[in-house]
Amino acid sequence: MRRFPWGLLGMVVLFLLLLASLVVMGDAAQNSDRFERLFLWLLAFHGLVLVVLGTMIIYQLARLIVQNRDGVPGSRLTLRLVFGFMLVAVLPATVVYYFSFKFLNEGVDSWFDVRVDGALEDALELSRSSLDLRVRQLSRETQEIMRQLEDMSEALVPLALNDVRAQLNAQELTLVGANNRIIASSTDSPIRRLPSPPGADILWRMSPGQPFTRLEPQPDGSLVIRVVATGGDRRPGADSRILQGIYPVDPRMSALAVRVEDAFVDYREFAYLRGPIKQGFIFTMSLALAISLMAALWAGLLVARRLVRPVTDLAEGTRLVASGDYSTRLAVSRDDELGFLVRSFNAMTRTLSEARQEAERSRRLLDAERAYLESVLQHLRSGVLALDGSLRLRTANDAACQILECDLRAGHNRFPSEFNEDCPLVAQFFDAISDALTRREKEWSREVVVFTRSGRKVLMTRAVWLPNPGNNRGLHAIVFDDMTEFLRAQRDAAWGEVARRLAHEIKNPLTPIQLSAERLSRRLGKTLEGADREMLDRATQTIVQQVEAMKTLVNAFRDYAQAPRLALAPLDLNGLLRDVCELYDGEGQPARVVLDLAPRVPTIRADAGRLRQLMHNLVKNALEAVQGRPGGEVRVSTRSLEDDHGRRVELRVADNGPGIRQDFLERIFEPYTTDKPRGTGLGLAVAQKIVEEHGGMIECHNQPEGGAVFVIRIPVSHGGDTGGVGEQRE
Amino acid sequence: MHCWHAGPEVMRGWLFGLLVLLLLAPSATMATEIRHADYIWQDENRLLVRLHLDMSLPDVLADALANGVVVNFRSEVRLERARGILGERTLQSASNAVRLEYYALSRHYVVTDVERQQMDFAPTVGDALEMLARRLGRVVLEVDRDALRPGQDYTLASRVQLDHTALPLPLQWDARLRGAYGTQLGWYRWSLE
Repeated sequence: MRRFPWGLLGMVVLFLLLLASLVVMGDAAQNSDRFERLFLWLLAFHGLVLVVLGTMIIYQLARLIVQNRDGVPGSRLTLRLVFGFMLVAVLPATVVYYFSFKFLNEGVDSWFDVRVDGALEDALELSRSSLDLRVRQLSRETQEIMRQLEDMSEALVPLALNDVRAQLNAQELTLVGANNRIIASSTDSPIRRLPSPPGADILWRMSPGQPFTRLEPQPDGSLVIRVVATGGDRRPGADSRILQGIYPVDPRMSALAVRVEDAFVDYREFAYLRGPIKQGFIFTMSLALAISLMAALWAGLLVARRLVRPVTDLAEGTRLVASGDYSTRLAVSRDDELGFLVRSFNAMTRTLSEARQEAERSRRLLDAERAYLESVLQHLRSGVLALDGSLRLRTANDAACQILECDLRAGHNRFPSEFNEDCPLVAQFFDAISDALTRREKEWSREVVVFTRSGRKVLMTRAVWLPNPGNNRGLHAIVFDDMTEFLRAQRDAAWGEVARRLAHEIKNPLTPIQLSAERLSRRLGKTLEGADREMLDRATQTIVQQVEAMKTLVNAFRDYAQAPRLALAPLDLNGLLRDVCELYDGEGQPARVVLDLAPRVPTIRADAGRLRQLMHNLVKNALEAVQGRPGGEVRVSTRSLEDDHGRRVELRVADNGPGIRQDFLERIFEPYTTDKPRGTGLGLAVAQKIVEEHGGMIECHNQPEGGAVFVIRIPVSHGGDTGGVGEQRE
Repeated sequence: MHCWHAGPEVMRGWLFGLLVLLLLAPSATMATEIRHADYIWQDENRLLVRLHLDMSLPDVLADALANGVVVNFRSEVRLERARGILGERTLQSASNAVRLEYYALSRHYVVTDVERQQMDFAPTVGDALEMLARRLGRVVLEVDRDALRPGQDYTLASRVQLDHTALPLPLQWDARLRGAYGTQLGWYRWSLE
């Protein structure tokens, strides 16, 4: 919405007010009444306007200068425009003012001319001269009459005065006697007021023998001549008569003389007022100029701000866009080119904003796709690796890290050969598949065997080469599964089946064989003697012993093959270990059994009998390993641990024997695997079975300091015991 | 941003400058003074107030007069009744307007009682001023003598001033802007017994 230009409106209103007041002031200067009434108010108004305008302009300029110093966008341009406007306003105004001042001075001076002055003075002098002639004539005539009336009796004087007044065409003749007493008077009008004797000022100025004369203007504009004469050379006094005559001047001459006098006085007054007139004009002109300049400056400031505001907004908007804010929209307040520019800017930012939103949408979509893909990858139990064309590692999921026992994410963008030291499985893995990768076979699969400290791993590996048609680069996608457990389980199942069949097929005939051998011994033993008897006893004993051995073997196979039937209950593992190990603590044992039990081991849910069997198997196995070795020792330890697999109890059975051969170590938990001459080869296989029945894991490896160690980890929460796990204190 | 703070020294400097400007400005010269005033009852209802004036003209006004400018004076008389803190209330007032001009044709100064159209002629400014003082100094006030309450304080107030409005406009500029032709007096008051 366009903003209403209040500032501009205010400026126009103020300017109109000023204009009106200047007109009124000019009018008042021509009229005395209005001047008296309005001048001070107008002057105060103009002064106030000047002060207000000046204050506003100074404030605005100071603000602009400060903004310019602080680097506010647009302030510099505004300042330049303002100074430009000032220049444009002041320069012509100064020129006009200078020439107006000059013309005013010279114009007013030109109204006055020496020749006109002289002519007027001459005219006035001429009027005076002609009037003086008349005054002198009347003076003589009045003096002559005075001589005639000087000694005339008072009774005759009125008649004489009337005659003389008529003769001289006088307006009034008055004869005054001693003490200013009116003796007689004659006027040309019967309704004229009473005659007044000559005033003291006249009498005081009179000289002996010299009549007093004076030209007197009348209120009606006419002129009269007053003549006061005394008799002889006597001074006017108490004892002398005085004649006062008032004579009208000829109307035509009077009018001419008055006009000349008026013109002369007007000219003199005008000439005298020349200075004040000029000062008044100059003052008014200066006031108008000052107000105009102030108004122009103020208008310049407003216009400059209005002009620059879109540019400032654009600069600010551009800065915001440069900083990445595309939501900037500028207000369109004009229809000119600047308005077009602002609209174009808004269109540009709108387009940018939409493009950015689209890009953001695409990015979010891509991120979601990538997250989905990563989630799928991370939740795959198969290891997934992606290598670029130069065999740099690009992607690895959690399963890959877990299978290859290496944090492959830390090795992002590394070559496989760079994993040699810290991730030996990775190096082995890539060594096994490098030929296929180098050849960029389109699709291949193979079984890769890598060796770890705990044994071998069989990785079923499949890979495809995904070339990028756009460029020379491509991607190797490698998927592999750890088949070790699967293969082991397959083997265990096979061995279980074998054991079950052996137990079933072999155990049944053993008892009849044993009974038959014993019956043969009893029947034939009575009939035979000597060497024959001895041979028979040996043979039958051998048969019985071997049958027993076979029974033992078959029972072992039966135990291995039978389905688990666990009686789970809360179990104090440390207590169980103490009970088991106590059996091996005493004389006649081949080595010492040391207990190193953690003080706080959680209670687990387990089958105590099966775990007891497990411990017997492991401890006996360890004791056999150290048998005959000086300082032989079996160390049984426990500890509580918590890792990615949850809360578990770790049980270690370590010996300081010769350790286990590497080739034997790889299949140590397979049935019928033993390095002992009298072993069944099922002890460790059963141990592994018991651990797996409890949801745990068992591993075996040689210790760096010598000897082998079996590590068993059983989850605390196995069997649904999630809340009642107590901790036992030693 | 720097702020300008006017210290006391700066303010004192400005005030001093202002004072100097005021002192240097053209000031009005008091040229007319009521030296003494009295009154007489002409009859029951006419009070003649007599003002004894010392009159002279400021140079600038005398110069203007000599150059044909007509100068008008006005004398005013008021009868006031005191009203305590409310000041005075004017009961009656009267004035005299007298014009003084130079008549070039006869080289005389003319003093005219504007109301009565009575003229006096003087050859010099001094004589004219005496006549002017005489004309201005006689003011007749119409007073209802019976309306005056005994025991009440009555005051006569009078003043004589130049009539600015009768001056030519350019001189009014001077009179208004510069305070020239300062002939205005304050009120001269005395008791009516």
